[in-house]
Amino acid sequence: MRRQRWMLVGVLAVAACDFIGTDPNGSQGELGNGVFSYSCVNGSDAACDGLMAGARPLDAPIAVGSRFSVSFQADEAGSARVEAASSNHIEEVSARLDTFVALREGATALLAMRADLAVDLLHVQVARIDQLRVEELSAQSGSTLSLDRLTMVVGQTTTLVASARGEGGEVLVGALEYVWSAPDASVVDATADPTDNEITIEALAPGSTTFTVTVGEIEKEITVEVSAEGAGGAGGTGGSGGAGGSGGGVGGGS
Amino acid sequence: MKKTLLAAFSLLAIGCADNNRVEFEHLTSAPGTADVFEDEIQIEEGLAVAVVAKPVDDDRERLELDTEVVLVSNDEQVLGIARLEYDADEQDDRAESMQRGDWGFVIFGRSVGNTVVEVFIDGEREQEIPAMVEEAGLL
Repeated sequence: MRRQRWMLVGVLAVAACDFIGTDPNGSQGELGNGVFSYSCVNGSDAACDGLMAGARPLDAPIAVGSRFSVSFQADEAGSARVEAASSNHIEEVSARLDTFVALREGATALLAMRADLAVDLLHVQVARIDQLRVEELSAQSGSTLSLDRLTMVVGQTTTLVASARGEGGEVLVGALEYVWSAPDASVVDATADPTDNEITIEALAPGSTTFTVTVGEIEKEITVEVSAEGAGGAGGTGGSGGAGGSGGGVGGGS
Repeated sequence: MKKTLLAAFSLLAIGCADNNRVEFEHLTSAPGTADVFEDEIQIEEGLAVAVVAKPVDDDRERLELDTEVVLVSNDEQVLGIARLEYDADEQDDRAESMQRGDWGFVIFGRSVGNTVVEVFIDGEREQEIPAMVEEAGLL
């Protein structure tokens, strides 16, 4: 009998772990009736760039002006429609895609509704963008980004990722429109996808150039210094080259 | 004349005996003011709170288990009210604080303003609760 009891406890524990592990983007509703799941509407959302350090997206603040998607899955079979408690704070932009835009700073509730009945609720935090941070997405290029100064050797390619941050430097989730200005095309070749928060830089010739990334009224300046091959600088191996390909290039001047 | 007075007194007595109301119990808490009481509701815009409404009589004795409770916001643009999905007959554990005969609601602040919540018990309007939705930090 005792053995059976322990087996039951074990099975329940495994089941619980399995459930929690199935949705890293999910947050349990406050009534415990199901899980609210976050998803990115495009590649410009920091929640989908691996910048969250394991935190669940709905536990992080959502950037004012950003778009995001939330769905709800009840513990018992069936899903429920998600709606915002106040459209002054979070507005639904597509009911079919469960897509919302965050409008106002502060705490606000998302409700899981089935017909006219409430199934669960979850409060989320919406925060104002205070700063932008730019990081190097891949370290294999041998370039170095330090204090907004990118050091490269001719031939290297690197990808930078920008993220919106709150007052305390915390990552803000939600898709935003990142606008990259054009650096000096004789020094680097830059390619940015307008629906992403990334820019790929290829060092073409020795020299220095500056470009900016802007979200709303917040701007961040990055200086790229390119040295000749074998001239020291950042050292490292050459990049893969060919930063062209897909993508829409970068926007106009800053 | 005597009969009319008698009838009036009888009606009055029935009316007094039938002064039912609801008592609220919070199922969740909000990151700000979201207070639901039987004489007043105060909630910040954007916040929501789940409550249990227990129908009681004048002596605060619990009414019959099949008593129906309906809450109606007089201005849905100011204060939203949604009944909580809960099958009392199933006695499921999805809202542990709820017992058979309880009525659960989610009450949420849609936009700043004042309104009234009408409480219907078995179809009779028994209470009017003033409700205030305020901007965050002002309550």
